[in-house]
Amino acid sequence: MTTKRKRIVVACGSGVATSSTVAEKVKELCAERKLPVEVKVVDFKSLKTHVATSDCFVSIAPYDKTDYGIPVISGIPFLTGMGLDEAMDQLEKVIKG
Amino acid sequence: MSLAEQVNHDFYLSQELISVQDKSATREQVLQVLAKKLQEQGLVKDSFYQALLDREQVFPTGLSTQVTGVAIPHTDSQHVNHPALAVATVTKPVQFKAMDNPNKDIDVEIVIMLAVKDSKMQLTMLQRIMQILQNNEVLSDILQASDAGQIKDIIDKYLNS
Repeated sequence: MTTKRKRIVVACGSGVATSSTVAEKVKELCAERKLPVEVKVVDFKSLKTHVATSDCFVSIAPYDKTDYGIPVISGIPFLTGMGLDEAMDQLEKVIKG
Repeated sequence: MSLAEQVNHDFYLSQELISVQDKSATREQVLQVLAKKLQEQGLVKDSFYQALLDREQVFPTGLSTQVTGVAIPHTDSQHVNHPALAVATVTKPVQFKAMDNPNKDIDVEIVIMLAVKDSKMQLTMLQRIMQILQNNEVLSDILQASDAGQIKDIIDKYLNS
């Protein structure tokens, strides 16, 4: 039996630099914690369609107060390393929840 | 060897793309200094600077790190000819809005401008560059460097280690 992979969507303004880096870090840390995830990088323009099929949204603009209907986690700690453990704990809770 | 061959999928960085102890007093000024350097080397298109400013308005790039405020301005790849980096340290901190809060100002002392062409192809190097943000030693060394050659050496050494 296979465990269903949780879908995480990562977005930044252009989907160019920050979101790709954050997504790789999320993948790496989820692997370390043995969390089965699928991580997708998108830009804000196509975010709405992707959110519909995702379990968690890692945002590079966490001040955005739009209700996406799924849990939103700040992606900044994955970039700077500051508050990273807390962010991962939060993500783990969402994935296991 | 032509520039195109030389840069390949790596990010091009030369001393000409580094401004040490830059006198810029505002975010716009320091962005202009670095964008101009990239433009003069033919690494970005004429539209790059304006695109950079526009993006910074909507998606600011100021970040707090353990060492100091760092900004990582960048914009859509359509304005870029070749992947490159341009770096500045400033004599007096310039204010960038925080990436996670556009109402918050961050006193930035290091600006790492990214000209990204294809984030998928360059992902490994891009990640490596971004990891500088988590490396206190490299950030401190950049901050204390007194000429462009030193900064180039610090970054080259880090990226190739």
